[in-house]
Amino acid sequence: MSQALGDLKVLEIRQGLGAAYCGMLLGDMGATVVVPSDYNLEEPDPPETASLYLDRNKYSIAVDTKRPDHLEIVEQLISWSDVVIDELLPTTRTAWGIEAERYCDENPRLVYARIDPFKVSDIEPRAASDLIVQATSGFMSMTGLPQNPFTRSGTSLSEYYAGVTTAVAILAAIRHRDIAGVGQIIDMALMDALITALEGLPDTYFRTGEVRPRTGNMNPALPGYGFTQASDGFVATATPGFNIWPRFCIAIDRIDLVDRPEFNSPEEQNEWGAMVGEAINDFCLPRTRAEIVDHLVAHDVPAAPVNTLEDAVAEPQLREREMIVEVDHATRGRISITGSPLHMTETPGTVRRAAPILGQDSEYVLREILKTPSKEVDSILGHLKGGE
Amino acid sequence: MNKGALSGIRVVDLGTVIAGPYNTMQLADLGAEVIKIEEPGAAERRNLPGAGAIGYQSPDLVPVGSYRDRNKEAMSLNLHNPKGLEILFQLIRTADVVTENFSPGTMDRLGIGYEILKEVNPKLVYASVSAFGQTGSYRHHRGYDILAQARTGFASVTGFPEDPPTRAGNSITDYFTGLLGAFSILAALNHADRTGRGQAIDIALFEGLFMTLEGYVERTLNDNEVPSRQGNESLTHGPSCGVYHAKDGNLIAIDVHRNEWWHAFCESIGQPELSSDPETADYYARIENEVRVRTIISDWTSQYDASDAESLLGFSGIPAARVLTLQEMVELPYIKERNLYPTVDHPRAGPIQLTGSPYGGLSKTPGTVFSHSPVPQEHRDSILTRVLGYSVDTINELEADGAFSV
Repeated sequence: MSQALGDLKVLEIRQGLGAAYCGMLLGDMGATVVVPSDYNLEEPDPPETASLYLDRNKYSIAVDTKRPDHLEIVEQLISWSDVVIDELLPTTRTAWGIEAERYCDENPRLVYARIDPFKVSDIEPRAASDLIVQATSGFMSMTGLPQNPFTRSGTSLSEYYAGVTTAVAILAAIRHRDIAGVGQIIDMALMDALITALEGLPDTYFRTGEVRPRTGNMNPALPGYGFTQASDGFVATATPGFNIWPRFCIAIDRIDLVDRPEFNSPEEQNEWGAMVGEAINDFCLPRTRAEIVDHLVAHDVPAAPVNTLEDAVAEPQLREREMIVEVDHATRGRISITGSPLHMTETPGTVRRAAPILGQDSEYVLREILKTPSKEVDSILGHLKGGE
Repeated sequence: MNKGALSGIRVVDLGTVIAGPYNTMQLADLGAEVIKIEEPGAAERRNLPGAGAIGYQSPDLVPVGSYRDRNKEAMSLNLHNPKGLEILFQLIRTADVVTENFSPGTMDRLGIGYEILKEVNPKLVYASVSAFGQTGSYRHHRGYDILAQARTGFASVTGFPEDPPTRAGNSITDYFTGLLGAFSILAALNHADRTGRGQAIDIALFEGLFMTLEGYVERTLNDNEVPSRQGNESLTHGPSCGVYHAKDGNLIAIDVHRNEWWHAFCESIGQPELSSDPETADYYARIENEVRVRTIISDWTSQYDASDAESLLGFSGIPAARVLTLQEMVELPYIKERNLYPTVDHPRAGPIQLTGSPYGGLSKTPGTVFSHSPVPQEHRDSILTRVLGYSVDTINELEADGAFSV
């Protein structure tokens, strides 16, 4: 199989999941992705278990950014790159001497993507991260059970949104480069990416001055769309639109609910929704998740178990579509990781090698990518702690 | 029209609901020509005030989610009418990309499956988004965001340990998946430009969310543990990345999981000795000693109102912020500075503010919002004359033949 981005050379300098996810997508499509990491950094970036899938297909070189000769390696890698993905903390950029504008002057074809939590001039130098963006964007105010405090996502979701949005922007910029001959800087913010996924609720607020309150796992405006307690956990059901609703009522043996009344206010609708919710509870509570889901799906009603992660990774669909694959890791041996979601007939996303440990590819990067003379390689490697 | 990075690319968009339109919104923001084809009635429903919620609808509302169709042109076609289908077929012949999110097999039944289309347009990129993908034992299962949040395990890691698994308040899955669609389309276009060969793309909602589980999947598969929800604390970093109650009862998010931030925090709260205390000095030690770390932070936040805590920490370069409502968010100076809710004219609603583009930061080809989401049939005649060269008479004949409506 050929690879859609087999010619693309990408440098990923990162202290965040967004850049790692962006680099992963480019790497799955065949790009050569090199990650220089400072072996003095005190926190794992990304955390080791996230790195197991996010860093597959990539090459790791360990550097000591306190040494000018090692910073020179980073500069050489920037010169080598078609694309730089930079999600460093502002303090780290300063410490490393990162100057995106200069790199673009020196190499006008460079596409330089710079990911930050916010792009700000007025509240700089306030530090931030995914958690701060979840809090500030209003996302948390939409999430959680109504009786609980506003609730964060169990994942760093703004990083993933920004990561793939950046990847889209990079490929658009590469197309522009191929046509117009010039690269550009892409300034991406976790905040800007996340707020495009807020369902248009702010748009409605501008119009009406009101925001629909969060409804937790149920939505009274959409009865049957939510989580319901079963005898062994929870089930999720979805009954959007009028065509599924009658089948749902038949499935739970409440044909009397098929005809929805006319609503003259949101209150009337909520009242009816609560009554319907009771009917769904009565159906689900005595039955297991599997019984309910099988029964509803047989009636062509969308339903799913609310899985633990253990349940989730056992879903046969994941292995049938190679969404869980095995790789040989340098220190962990044979492990299972998340596969590529990029199913394409000509250039499918591939997992070609396991995530490297820090510095696993230092020598390869120096010799094969930077074509560093042999003597210098030996001298530099003497100072690299990588591959331990 | 604009001169974005993707100008010159024509997309015929059959997508509906969220993932499909959000996918092509990315392409349209970046300058692609996106022609949205809708079934009769669908455009009208999409343009209902308050569309999306069944039942009560306030007449003041603009269509919910209409921002996802900005920058596109639209027309309706009756695909069960041979002439309507023929128009779609002719449009796809001229296109670089076609997108669809019907249930698997629908395009084949309509007679416009990939195998047929590639014969007439070998460079075509044909992108499908579906619940579980075009293959596998679940391929015919219906899927919606909430089911993916349930089945992937996402909900099991969100919310508080003593409460049920909790869904994200937005349709998190659709947005991730729409973006993966846009990314794979651009990769395929790159390949098509170099080789002359298009391809079919098969993106699944279930997988779009499954990709973002932060290594919890890897912990479950390899480390004999099953990560589960930890309320408002990070499952990875523990209480040093969490949300706390302030003195006034409001919430403040504080992320001091990095040593750099933790040390600044200790300084800021007047306990610099914690920077060298073996129980808290180091990232791993803080995960180990989570009770102590939680107490240190909550003892401090309980002494200050949330806005004071935010200022005190923020000025010291520590990530800390009040947890805002959407009403508060849109008032941030940041939002105006970045023009994140621009105003466009809508033919029915007048000037409206809508969700902006995340691509404003491209230095040479910034993404923009240059037009409203189309009303039904808004661009029918201009599409048919510009793209297919039809005359007014031809269009009138097609209308009489029922190509555009049922």
